[in-house]
Amino acid sequence: MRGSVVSVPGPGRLRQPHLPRAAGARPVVAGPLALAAAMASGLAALVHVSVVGPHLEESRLFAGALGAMAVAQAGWALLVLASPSPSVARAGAALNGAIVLVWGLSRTSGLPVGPHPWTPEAAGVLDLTATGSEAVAVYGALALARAGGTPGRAHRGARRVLLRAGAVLTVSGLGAALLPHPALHSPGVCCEPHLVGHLAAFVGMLTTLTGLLLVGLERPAGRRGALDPAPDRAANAGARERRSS
Amino acid sequence: MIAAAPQVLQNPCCEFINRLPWGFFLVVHIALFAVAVFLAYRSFEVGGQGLGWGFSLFALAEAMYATYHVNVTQFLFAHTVAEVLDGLAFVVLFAAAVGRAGVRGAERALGAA
Repeated sequence: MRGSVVSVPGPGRLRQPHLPRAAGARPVVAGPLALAAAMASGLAALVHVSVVGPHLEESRLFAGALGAMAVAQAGWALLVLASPSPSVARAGAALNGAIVLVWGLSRTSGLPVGPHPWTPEAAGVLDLTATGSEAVAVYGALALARAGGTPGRAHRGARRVLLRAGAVLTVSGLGAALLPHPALHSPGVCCEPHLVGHLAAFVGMLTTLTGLLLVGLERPAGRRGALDPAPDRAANAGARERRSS
Repeated sequence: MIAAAPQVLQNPCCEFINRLPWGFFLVVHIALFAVAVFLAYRSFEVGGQGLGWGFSLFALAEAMYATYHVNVTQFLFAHTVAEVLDGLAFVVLFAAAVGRAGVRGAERALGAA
């Protein structure tokens, strides 16, 4: 008896407008994933713009390179929002990935050009922020390229990226905040590890919450479960009507 | 100002709490946050939107507590906002749970009829 009541299709199941996409229409990939990648690339561009001035006195080559990176990153951020195709996404991953590589070289072996060739530079809060944003942009762009033009896949990709990145950031930030860092503590070279850990954990929590928001806003058709009363109410009302007629 | 409020005791109870390391509170908030995110995710996955949003509000409250740890907000402000969010979360959770119980009761009544 109960099974027959619950199996009656309620009004909620009637609204599933899975209409075929019109021929020639461009797939809509833009959404949370493209927005996240564009914002990350845009943030890195802002950081690069902010340090062009200080680098002008040291090296015009570096200042020019930083300006060019900022223009490319900001341009890609606009492009991926306007035309979020897989090839544009791959280009953004390559661009931001190459900048991360150059930054890694400059902080480890040093760059072969500039006023101090092959001399590693110290890491700071600003360049760590830019590199973190670029890493997020690379991850988001690759996930966007892999989604390949399906909005549902892109949406799921976005929430997966956010939930996983949030969990990794929160756990690693908590670890960095709690573990002792006698050898790593070197004010002036970089930021204090406990503070970085706290910030990473906090940003991780916010990232996780954003992913959770996407999960909550997405409501796949046919995924209503026993915890949701709406379809059961509709089903019960339908069963009552049939019984009385 | 809270300091200007009437003070009953000169040495109020439970001073031990001030001797706990800050890491303890951070661990507690992140552990509760993880539990809330897990329950919200599971609720959303099975279509329980009410429970999902309730647990999400609880997770947001835990993130609000963390703003004090990163020195973005004052201690009292962070705890006040977080407690308001906790209150909202409990209202949403109770409403969702009561709604769910009502539906089950109706199902049972229909099944018995």
